[in-house]
Amino acid sequence: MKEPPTERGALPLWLTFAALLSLAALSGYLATRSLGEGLGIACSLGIASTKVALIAIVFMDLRELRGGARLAAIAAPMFVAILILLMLGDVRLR
Amino acid sequence: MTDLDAPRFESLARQRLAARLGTWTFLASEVLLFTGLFALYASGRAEHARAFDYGITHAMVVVGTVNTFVLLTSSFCLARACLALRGGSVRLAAILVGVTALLGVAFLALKGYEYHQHIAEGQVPGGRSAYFASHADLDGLPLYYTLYWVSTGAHAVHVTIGVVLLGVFAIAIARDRVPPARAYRLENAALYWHLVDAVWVFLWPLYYLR
Repeated sequence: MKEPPTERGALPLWLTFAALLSLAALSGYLATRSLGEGLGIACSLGIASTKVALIAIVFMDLRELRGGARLAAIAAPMFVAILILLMLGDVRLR
Repeated sequence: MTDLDAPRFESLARQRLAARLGTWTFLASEVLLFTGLFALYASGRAEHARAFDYGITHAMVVVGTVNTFVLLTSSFCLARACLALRGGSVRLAAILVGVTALLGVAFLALKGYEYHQHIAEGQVPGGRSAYFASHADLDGLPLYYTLYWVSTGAHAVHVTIGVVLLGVFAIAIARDRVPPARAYRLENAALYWHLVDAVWVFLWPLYYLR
């Protein structure tokens, strides 16, 4: 794991914050539109995933991670994907 | 009596690495906890689409949306606080960590107001109230509200722990107990808070947005 940068400015944090607020506003706006059940939840979760990726990469310094810590960070969303896919597969194939 | 600043590893960099690995492992286990709840939600929504749609339509969307912006702002403040502490701006770091904790309190206050309204309406976990009797045609509605309470309740417990943790850090930083060289301690607490924020980022569309 590299030492986190101390000399970099706060600009990346401000830009990420602005992107997060914009994405949240977009999500709220799209919820007021009639996109249909499937498309609506797909858009909402797609935007949520983008926001979490920004938080993880910039705020949680994901890029700085090495070794076991990176493995744990990658394993976490894989747990989510595997469990949700298996659950939905079970429901759909009944 | 133990000295918290006593070296435990051959170098500070190695100690920081070990602390970061432990924190990420803990966060991965936390993700598993919430993943179980998200999986239950996916199953429930697939089986009771009409009831879940009804529940979401009657959610307090304004409160949920304000809380989303509150938590996103808190995450930014904490990330900025970590940067400030690493750069030696101890006073700014203490203030920003304190602001983050206060935003957490604001989140909990709004969530408490929301819970109060749900209880007044009879939208309680378990489905044993007049509200559910009057909505007997929506057989998945009790499941929706049980999942809502368990998921948001587990999240609120995590926010409460985070508020206490950050409150302690704000005081400790203000008293020069967390010097810039030990900024990794605040960074690990920040990782926990960002995870709490990330969980809400998913809870918001699932329980508030159509």
